[in-house]
Amino acid sequence: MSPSLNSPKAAFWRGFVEILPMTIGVIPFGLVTGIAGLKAGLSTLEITLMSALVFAGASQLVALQLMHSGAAVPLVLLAGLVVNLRYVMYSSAIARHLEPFRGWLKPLAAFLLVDQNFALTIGRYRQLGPSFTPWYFLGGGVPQYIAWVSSTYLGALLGARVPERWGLEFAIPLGFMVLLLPALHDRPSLAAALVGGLVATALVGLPYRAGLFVGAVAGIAAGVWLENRRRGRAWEDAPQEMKEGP
Amino acid sequence: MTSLDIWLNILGLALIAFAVRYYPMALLERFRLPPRVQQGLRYVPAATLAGLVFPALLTHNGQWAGPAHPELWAGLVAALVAWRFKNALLTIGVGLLALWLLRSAGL
Repeated sequence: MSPSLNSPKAAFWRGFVEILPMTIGVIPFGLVTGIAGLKAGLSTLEITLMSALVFAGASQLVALQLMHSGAAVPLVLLAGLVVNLRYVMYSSAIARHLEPFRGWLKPLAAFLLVDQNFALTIGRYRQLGPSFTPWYFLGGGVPQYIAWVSSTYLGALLGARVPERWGLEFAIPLGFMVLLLPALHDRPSLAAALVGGLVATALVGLPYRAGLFVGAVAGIAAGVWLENRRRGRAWEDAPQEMKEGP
Repeated sequence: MTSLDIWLNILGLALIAFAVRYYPMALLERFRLPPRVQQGLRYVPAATLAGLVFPALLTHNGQWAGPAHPELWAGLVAALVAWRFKNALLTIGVGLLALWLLRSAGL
């Protein structure tokens, strides 16, 4: 097991290093987004600044596809909002872990919140403890940001498509799989994953990747339902003296 | 699409992406969530991550892919590696390698 941490700086760098394998998956996604930007009629500068300011891959890709088909501004923004709704859940779920951050560190951490450092940080919280966790999270956000902005820039610069048969985009779900397994620690969380995954799959044809959000809500409901049912049953099975208490 | 439209889109998307990430955590400094919601938030990682993984293994171009889908088998091999070794780089490497082998085998 890795040695325990003794400073915020060490926590930052551990987050930085531990997210690197998952950062590889970001690069092909960024290249594709850069190319989508060219198709939508954006300049290389606009594409790169979009990545630097928005830093939310799925919403950028959906927005660029809509811009390519000539959609009006409000429609593009609405799509961006729907695709990003899962961040409302992420931000709420990680609020407690980032509690120690004050001042400008809080908005900076929020800006750097993505799927990968969210899941990685939640999974490491028990090991890291409350004071180092925010720094670990921040350290995980930085390589993701650098990789995202530079790979979209590269995609816009090259323009040529990375050969599809390489299947590099597949690195993205593989990275999420590594994060998913430790999140399955009991039966309710397993149920949440199964329902969330299958509903998202069934609704994959919905526009704006809305299936991901609907699937997440269904999965969470399944997890809560199973946990409460088990708790209720344990309560019924408990001996009468326990229920009455001392 | 005019240059003004492009910039309105970029700035609007930037504001939206920041707001959905910042306001929930900022507001939760002042307000506490009801226990029911807190309970639900614990299942966010499992439910959302599965929603990001499953469709990549089970669908192709927005359609149900069935068993003759190399991503499904490469993904299952990768899941085994992830579970056994708990190593991200190894999992991604083996998963991509399995995908290339399956594709060149003609699946």
